Amino acid sequence: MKLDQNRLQQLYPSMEEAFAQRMERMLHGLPAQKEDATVKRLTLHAVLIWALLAVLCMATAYAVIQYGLDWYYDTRFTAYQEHEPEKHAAIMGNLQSGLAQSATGDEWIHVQVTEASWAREEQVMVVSLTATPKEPETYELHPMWNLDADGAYVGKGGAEQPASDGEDRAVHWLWTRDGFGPVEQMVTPGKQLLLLDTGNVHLNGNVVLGDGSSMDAFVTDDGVVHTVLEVRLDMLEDSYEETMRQQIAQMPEYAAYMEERLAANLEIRRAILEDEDGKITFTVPFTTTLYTEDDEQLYQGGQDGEIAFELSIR
Amino acid sequence: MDENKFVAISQQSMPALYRMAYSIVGNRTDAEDAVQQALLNAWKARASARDGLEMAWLMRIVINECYTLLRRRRRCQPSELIEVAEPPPEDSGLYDAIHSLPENLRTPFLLKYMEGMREAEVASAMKLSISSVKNRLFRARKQLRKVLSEEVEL
Repeated sequence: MKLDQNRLQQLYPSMEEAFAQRMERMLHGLPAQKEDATVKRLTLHAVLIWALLAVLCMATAYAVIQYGLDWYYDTRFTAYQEHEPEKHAAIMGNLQSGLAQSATGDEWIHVQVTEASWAREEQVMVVSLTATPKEPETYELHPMWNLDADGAYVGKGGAEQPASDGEDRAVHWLWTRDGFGPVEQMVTPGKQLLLLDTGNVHLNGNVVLGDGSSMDAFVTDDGVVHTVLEVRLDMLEDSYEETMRQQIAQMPEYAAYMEERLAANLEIRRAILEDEDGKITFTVPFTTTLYTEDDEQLYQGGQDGEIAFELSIR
Repeated sequence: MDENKFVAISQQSMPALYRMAYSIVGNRTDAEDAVQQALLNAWKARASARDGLEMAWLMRIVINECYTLLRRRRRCQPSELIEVAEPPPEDSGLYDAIHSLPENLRTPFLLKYMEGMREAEVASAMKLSISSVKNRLFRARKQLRKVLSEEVEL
């Protein structure tokens, strides 16, 4: 069998034109971003005018930007709008806010489910959760996923001063809006790093986790850790159990894992379908950890908490 | 690397970056996300690119971003089960054979034979020694021969 480069390349799809054009625009916009940031010598008069304009812009931005799901799908994760507009419309059309909720284990942070969407027609549920430190002058909050986001931290045996991003490291690095670097350089001087790890949505003690469920967590411009959990509700499809049984038969090596998931999902399905008042209480577990260089404490310590919220599913 | 060179190399490498991202994450949406985020990260870190290895450097950032994305989005299924697009019907056997390779053999194989990178570039993109790359390529070819039940001519 002759394998040439062209034949191998044909195995994978080409970029879509819309994506190629978007990347083209982004690449050509990058140098301009740098020029905007260039410091120029200004007169006092100009400084005052620019300062006034900056204050006005910041005030306007503060008033306008709401980091909810609308912003999320318009700005950070635009793939649904471009590739799955029906799903985007269903999520936005079923948004619920002002949800009844309560949290435990939240001594260090204010945590809130700001919005959620139960889009049954697209078999998807989305939860938007925000968190801020209760003492922002002392703590700086980041998602746990942003610590060593490149997977290069190896502890002892890694380089003290890696030559480049991605090499095995002996020190923890944190991803922030300013870039990726050693924790002590990335956290505001005088503040302690607090890390938030958010779990999946649960119902009656079972994790609600269909195929393709996902999580995204990031820090907004105003220091809020915003987590978006998307849960596939394929367990509600009529054919779910039959489909799963077929998959289990085809993949015996994953049978134990899939049987366990099937049993939990059938329990979730039963709870949802048999619910009579149309409102179900879901929970999201979370852990807040004060950064430490003791890896055992970092990965296994921290304070566990949980936020429970009520969602209308009719 | 200066700005113009960064833009030129990114444009030139984009199809290859996208193909490799797709081969790891298995769907268009995630591949696009990974490439876009990787290019933004690369732009910030462009001073660290080494002359002559810019393509390998970009590829490495994309590969890292793919791994990060898979981890962050917490796919509930094992990565081997992530849905992938249908390959061309006439080559589905080859596609299946390549995807039967473990990821640590498949990625260097595709970098070398699909993207035409030199072994030194593959080593740089994957943070491996050249001898490890040679070893993995040998094992990948051997496994492909076994799966395809015929000689693989490259």
